[in-house]
Order: sequence, then structure tokens, then C-alpha cells
Amino acid sequence: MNLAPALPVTLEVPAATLLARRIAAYGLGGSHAQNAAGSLAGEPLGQGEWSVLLGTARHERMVGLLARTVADAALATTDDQAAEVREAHVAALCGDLVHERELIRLVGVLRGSGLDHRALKGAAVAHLDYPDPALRSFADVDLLVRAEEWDDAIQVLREAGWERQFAQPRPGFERRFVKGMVLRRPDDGGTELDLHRTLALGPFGLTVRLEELWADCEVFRLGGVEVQALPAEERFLHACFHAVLGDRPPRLVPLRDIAQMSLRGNLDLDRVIRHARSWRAEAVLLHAVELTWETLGLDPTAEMATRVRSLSPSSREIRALGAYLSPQRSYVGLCLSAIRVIPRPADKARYVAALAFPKRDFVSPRYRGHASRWRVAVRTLRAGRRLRAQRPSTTPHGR
Amino acid sequence: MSDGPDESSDCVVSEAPSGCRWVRAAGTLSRNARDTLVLLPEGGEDQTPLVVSGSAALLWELLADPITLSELAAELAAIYEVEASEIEVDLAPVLEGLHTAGAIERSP
Repeated sequence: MNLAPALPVTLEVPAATLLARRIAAYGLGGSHAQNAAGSLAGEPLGQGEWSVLLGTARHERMVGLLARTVADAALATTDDQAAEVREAHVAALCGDLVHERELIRLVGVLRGSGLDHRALKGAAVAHLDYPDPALRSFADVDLLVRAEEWDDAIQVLREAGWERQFAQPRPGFERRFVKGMVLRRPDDGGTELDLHRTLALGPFGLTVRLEELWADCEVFRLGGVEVQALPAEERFLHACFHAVLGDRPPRLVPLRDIAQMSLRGNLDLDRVIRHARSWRAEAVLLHAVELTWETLGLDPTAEMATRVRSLSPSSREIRALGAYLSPQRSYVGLCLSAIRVIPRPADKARYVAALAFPKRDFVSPRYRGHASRWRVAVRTLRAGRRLRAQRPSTTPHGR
Repeated sequence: MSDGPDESSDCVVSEAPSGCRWVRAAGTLSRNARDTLVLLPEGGEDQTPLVVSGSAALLWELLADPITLSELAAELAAIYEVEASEIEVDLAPVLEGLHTAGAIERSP
């Protein structure tokens, strides 16, 4: 797990991907990538490559950064291409404002019911960590609620017109074990609310000390309303969780978030590391920073990189991380990994029983029945075992 | 926090008293994309943002504090080196549109 010393330019990486990485790193102070972005000002891309780049920027929700490189003439474009970027950026900003309006409504609903909450990811990061929120777009609304208030929050949101997609496997399961849930409002254009209980699915979500997420907050204002977010260090660790434990392959935006927060110079690194240790997530922090530094070509002598490089995560953490990074990663595999970190035997039993024998209304939308669900689970586990047997190491980086 | 356009929402900007001051409505959400301004006023079920181009970003900046139409025109005239009276004529319908949408309100 060594930090890459320079830009990750390899022959295997398509040119459009490399360019997207450089755009994702654009404007980060003191990075090698900033110089690389400056060198993009050559000839405009051909239409085919341009379409791929613009599509990537849309998919990665970094049209704002692309627009900035074009506005700064760091990336040469034709007039038509520049107009396309402007149009795409305005469309992204329209979406951001609609999501922010929804966030304000939700804050009002939860606050009105006396339920604690924190805005996560998109809106919070755009307003608190970026010099201009127009650089950071987002696709939904993310809110954290207290585990002990989970059922109340779901009830209040249902009364406000939000609908859950799936029932919980057994009563009480969600407030004890889940990462969160996606809710939708059928009467509007499909705005999604990602309601979180913790910061990740699987074992790393269960070792987060939830009480530490509620000890403090940072506030930003949206349309005259105060919105509470996690403090900077917890926000940073959440970005690390999102980058490493979320989508495969990881999106560029959470990597940019990590770089953005790291290089702003306002993080208390002792506090970051203390939390990571307390949450048994040093492996996540280390891997997220390595991945960010390598992908975005950041200066390896930066304090964040050097401090994090000195961490020595336990073999148990590295094994847990392997379950997330495996090409055969599965929901079943992560659920099984999670059993190891549930501390009390009674809770382990509840967890296993709920997943092994859930209520029928949990099973029916996803599978034809209990038997079908078991067959899929066994097939998934067998496939994962075969793949692990073929690989030389079960750890993500051979450690 | 405002519940949308203020109580004088049916007033016409160009016919408002000359000393009438305008200011961003507190509940309006906004983003700048260079010379384009995206606004989402508060209130109503219509969640279609407003896109304003031209010198909109600067105009929005000036509307952070209560300001009259004449003062706005004078500020913009100094920047763009155009007669304030010419700008005032162009500015009135823009303010009217922003006011009708609930993005700005009359300052008490």
C-alpha cells in the first residue's frame, strides 16, 4: 500500500479517463495535477473524444470543474464545445437547486418533529468545502438521523409523502444494523432521499461510533435556513468511506472531495486519525488517501499523505476492506463480513435470524420466495469463493 | 424567511416610487455559472429554476443589500460605461421578472 509518487499515467488507462482525472484535480493548490491541467490547453478534442469527456463529466457530476477549466482556458475547446459545457453546467446547477430546496423542506419536517439530523455529502460538501458550490454538483439529498430515532424519522417522512422501496426484514433491524435507506416521493419528478443511519454498508458501517457523529456539527445556510452538517473531520472520513466502500470503480467526485478537504488546510489530522482508529477504519482512511493521491496525481509530500502513510491498520481491517474491493463484492458477502463486528452474541443472533428468515414482505419485491432468495445467496457465495481461490492473495494489496 | 413574493407582488417595478429599494428574497437559492445566474425562488409547487444571462451575476451581487432601481442603474453604468438612463430602461423589466418570480422583494 505505497503512495504513488506521481501522475498515474499508464498505457492501460484510456485518454478520456486520464483527461477526466486531470479535470477532477483542477485547481487543487500545490498538486502535480494542477500543472497537468494547465498543459491541457492544446488543440480542441475531436468530436468523438469530446463527447466521451462531456459524458464522463456528467456521469461523474463534475461538469462544474470542466466548466471551470474551459472558462480558465486550461482546456482548449471549439465554440460549440464551450457552449455545450455551459449548457450542461446550467442544467446541473438547476438540479442542485431543486435538491437543495428539497433538503430545506426535509430539514423543516425533521426539525418540526424534534428529530436530530445532519446533511451529508453533496449539498454540505459543496457549501462547506468548495470555494464555489457551483463546482460540486450532486444527484440526491443525503441526511443522517440518529439510530434510536430511525423508526420515528421513517414515520415522519412517510407522513410527508416519502415512500420506502422495501420493508425491513424484521422489526428493529434497520435501527440496529442498516447503513440507510432510499426513499422516494412518487408525486414529484423522482427526487431521492438517501436517509442514513451510519456511513457505510457492511462491517465498516457497524464499527462507526455513531455517538461521535452527533457530538458536534457545522452549520451552513441555504435560502435563509440553517442546515447542520457533520464537522470537517467527520465529513472528511465520510468522503473516504464513500470513495472506498461505495461505487466500484470509485467515482472521481468523492476523490476530489477528499483532495479538496485535505488540501484546504483546516482539517485536524489528529482528530481524523483518532476517529478512524476509534471506528476501526484506519484501512479505509489509508486506502482512500492513497487512491486519491494516485488517481489525481497529488503531491506525495503533502502532510495528509505522509501522516496517513504511517498508519498500520490491523489485518482484520484489511480483510474487511478486501470484501468491499473484491471484483466479486456482493451484498451477501458484506452482510456475512458484518457478523464478525457485531459485538453482542444476542445482536449477532438477531442479525443472522433477520437476514436468514426475513418477513415475507421483505422478500417478495426482490425474489420469488424464500427458496429463490437462498439459491441466489448460495450462488453468489460460491462465485466469490471460486474467485478468491484463483487469486494469489485475499487482501486488497497483498498485505 | 419569506413565504414567496411580498405583499406588493402585483406592483410594477417601473411604477414603484423612486425611493423603493429591492433586495434578494431570503429564501431564494442561487448559483453563478460565469455570466449566467440560476435562481430558485421559494414558494409554490413549481420547482423550475430561473436562468438569467448577461450581467445577471453582477446584478445579483448588487441585490445582496437593499438598492433602488436608479442606484442599480448607476452602479452598472459605471462598470459598463453606458448612460445610467439607458440601463435603467433595460433593467426595469429584469427586476420585474425577478420580482414576479419571487426572487427579489421590496425592502421594508
